[in-house]
Amino acid sequence: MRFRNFGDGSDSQAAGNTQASAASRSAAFHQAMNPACDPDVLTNYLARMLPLHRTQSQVYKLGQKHPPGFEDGFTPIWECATALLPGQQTTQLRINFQREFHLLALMGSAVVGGVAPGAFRAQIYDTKKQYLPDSRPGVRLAARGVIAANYFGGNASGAPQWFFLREPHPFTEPDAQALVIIQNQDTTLESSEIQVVLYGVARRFNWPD
Amino acid sequence: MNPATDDQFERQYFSYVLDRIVPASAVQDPNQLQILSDADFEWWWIIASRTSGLLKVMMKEQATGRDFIGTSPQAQAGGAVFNGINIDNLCGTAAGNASFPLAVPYIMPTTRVYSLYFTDASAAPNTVELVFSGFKLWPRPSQQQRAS
Repeated sequence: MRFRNFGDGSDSQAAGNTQASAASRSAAFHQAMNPACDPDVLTNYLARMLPLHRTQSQVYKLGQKHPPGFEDGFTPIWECATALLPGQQTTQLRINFQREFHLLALMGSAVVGGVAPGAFRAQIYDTKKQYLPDSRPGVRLAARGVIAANYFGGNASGAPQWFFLREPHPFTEPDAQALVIIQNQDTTLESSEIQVVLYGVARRFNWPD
Repeated sequence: MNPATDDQFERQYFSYVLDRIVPASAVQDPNQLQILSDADFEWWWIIASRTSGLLKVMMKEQATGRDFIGTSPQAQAGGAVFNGINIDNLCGTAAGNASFPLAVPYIMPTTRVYSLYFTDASAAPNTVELVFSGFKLWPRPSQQQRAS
């Protein structure tokens, strides 16, 4: 009886936890996001790893010899929207992106009175995105404003965290812009300093050089 | 080695480290980090420890003038003065499972200088260590050159 071919040309010699089957399980789990016929489609390398592994354990996988994708001509950038906001007030912030910004991760934090983490809701719009030809530009990234702890990592719980998107969200339209709406839910009289951070990659301004 | 995927570099695990005691209530306290002249650096992770989280960071690449921490005039409200990203939004310690993966590596060329500006709001000296973790890129002679 022949066992399943695992794609690397070798057959498993036995059922169970053999070296071959373990390797094939690993290969299946860490397979590329895109099939070989789509080599130029941009991918987030963390996408298949984040739910199951601590981020540190991804170091070796991330250090692959020649990762295809974003690395040519893109630069990491943390786009920040910052507001000093009194309790239970709402404000709108707009971020103008650099060329071909791709959103990879979200962070957020609120500081009240210099120390305590505060609560807030946030909603993010991609103001130039248009998925249907007859629709008005602009899509929201959540059905309604989301509680910060459910939307971002931030340091709300005391330890820095972040939320990585499973796939990058492209802000590739001309003059791309994000609208960030923040609602401070803190009931104290003191203002909160709320910061929402959109981490991603953008083209170097001198690309191609 | 598959020639289609070989970029002709040997990667050596390496970390650039910036240590600084930021003075109490300092505003955009300037610090510089220079990449060594022996090899380009492929930056994958940023890691930090600090005394107080009431600290903001800005980062700029000299030579190109590129800002890694961005904002827009309309992205500030309520009189907030932009002094950078909260350090806890940027990264944390490896022990706290808070090293930040860039997901896409960035090449820091040899001898290039990176300026980091710290702004403290804790009103006490803030001991900071920033670690840029990644790989030195050592050019590897091709098989053809080795044979000759």
